[in-house]
Amino acid sequence: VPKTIKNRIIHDDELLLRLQRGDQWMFQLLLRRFGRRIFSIAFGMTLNMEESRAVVQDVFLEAYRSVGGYRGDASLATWLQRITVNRCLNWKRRWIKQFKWFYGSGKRPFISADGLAVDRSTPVEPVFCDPLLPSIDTTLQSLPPQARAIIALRVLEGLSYKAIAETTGIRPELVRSGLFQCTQVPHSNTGIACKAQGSADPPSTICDGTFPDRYLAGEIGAGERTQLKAHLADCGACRRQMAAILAFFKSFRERVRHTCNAVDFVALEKSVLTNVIYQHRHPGRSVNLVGTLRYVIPIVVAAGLLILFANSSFFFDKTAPPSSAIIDAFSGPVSSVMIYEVPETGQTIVWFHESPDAQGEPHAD
Amino acid sequence: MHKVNPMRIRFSDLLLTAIVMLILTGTAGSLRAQENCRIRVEAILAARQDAFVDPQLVHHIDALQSLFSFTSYRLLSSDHIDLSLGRSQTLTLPGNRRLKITLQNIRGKRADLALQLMKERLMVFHTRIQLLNKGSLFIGGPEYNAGNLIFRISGAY
Repeated sequence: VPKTIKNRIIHDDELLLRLQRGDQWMFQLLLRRFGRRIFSIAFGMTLNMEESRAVVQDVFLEAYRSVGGYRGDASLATWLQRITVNRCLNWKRRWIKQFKWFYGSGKRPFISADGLAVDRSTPVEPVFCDPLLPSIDTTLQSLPPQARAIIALRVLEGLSYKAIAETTGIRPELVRSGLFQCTQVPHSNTGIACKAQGSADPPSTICDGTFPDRYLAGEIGAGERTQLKAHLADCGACRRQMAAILAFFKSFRERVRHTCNAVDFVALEKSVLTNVIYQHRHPGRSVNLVGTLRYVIPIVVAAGLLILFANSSFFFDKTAPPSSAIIDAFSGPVSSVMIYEVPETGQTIVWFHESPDAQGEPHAD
Repeated sequence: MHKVNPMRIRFSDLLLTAIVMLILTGTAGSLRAQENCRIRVEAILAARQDAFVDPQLVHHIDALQSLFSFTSYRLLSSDHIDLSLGRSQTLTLPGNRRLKITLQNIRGKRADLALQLMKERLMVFHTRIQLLNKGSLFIGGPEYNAGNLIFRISGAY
């Protein structure tokens, strides 16, 4: 990194501007700043280390390609989060398509800490396996991919309902219900349970039942934290709900952190940079190649098949060449005749000896 | 964003059209009913007295040398006739021989021919063959000028 930028903080706005000007060093900075965060979100959604690495590659390559056209209507982080979520959802679609049998079998996979699925029946325990992790994995796997996106953005990035909705394109009310679904706390009971318990366990503060909801929404400000703490000390129902939510958040965060610790981010950065440098030196090469092949390959294959079927005899008779001539009948006053066919070429030869004694029959002509 | 290049689409369309046209042309050609056949008869004198290859036989020399053990090949005559279905034509060959060829039928890649070889007014043999399109038949044996005559009969339609 040049000395001029080594000892000062470069804010995201400046980073974006310099990226758009084509500053290669800024891309390295972008990678270092957001690489781990992007990987965390990807892993939170895919629960697979290798796929998460691939998603990081894809996200930064797409960012490199499209940063020039980015209008800056959202922050750099939001933009990258959006790309990541889209990439992961696409990956999920591919995954479902390719491994539908896995889901269809009703078999619940055990995901080890290194992101690889391991059968529970196997006697070999993964090295990195934490005994507490399978439960959170089982819960996460039972969630739809969009719900995992919501929880990853909420827990790992600390986004509010509104920000999650903007990033994922999911409606805010669905984001809210999705979060409750993730934490396995029925949101309809929030507040109602709190009020019902009011007589047995009277709160010192007024309980309107919205604290857990507002906490999940990321709307509890610094000033309200003391108020929340005081309320939770008095209200048993809210305390239990908050404990469940926080326990889930903690397990999820720990799960992702555990995996991130096993990732060599320096190697990952190097790999991404190698790809980006290739893109820089050969701009658009792979895109054009793919675009061209997309049309040419099916046409060539279809044409080849058509030609093959249209001239099937030409192709298939190569192994056994046809006879150049088939002798159906041969008669006449000859002393001997030999009909021979060369196996390699199919050339037919007739060799005969005229009989010196044969007078032959006078021809009508 | 990657934009679709209209030139590329045009090129692929052109390619597809060309391939389809090519296939259609080939198919139409093969489906067209054939009623005429061009037949070429070449009379070759093969001998062992000297080593000579007629320059006009340069295209057939590999086949001749792989089939026969003669040392010299001379082209004595070369004739071609266009026959329509059911028609006959007689060619004069060396050694007072005549070859009467009748086009009997054309089926797929083969033409049915009736061949009658006559020496003066005597019939030497009569044969019916199915000649492959662009294929040939070597008929040899008659002695002539210290060598043997080989008739190469080829047909194309």
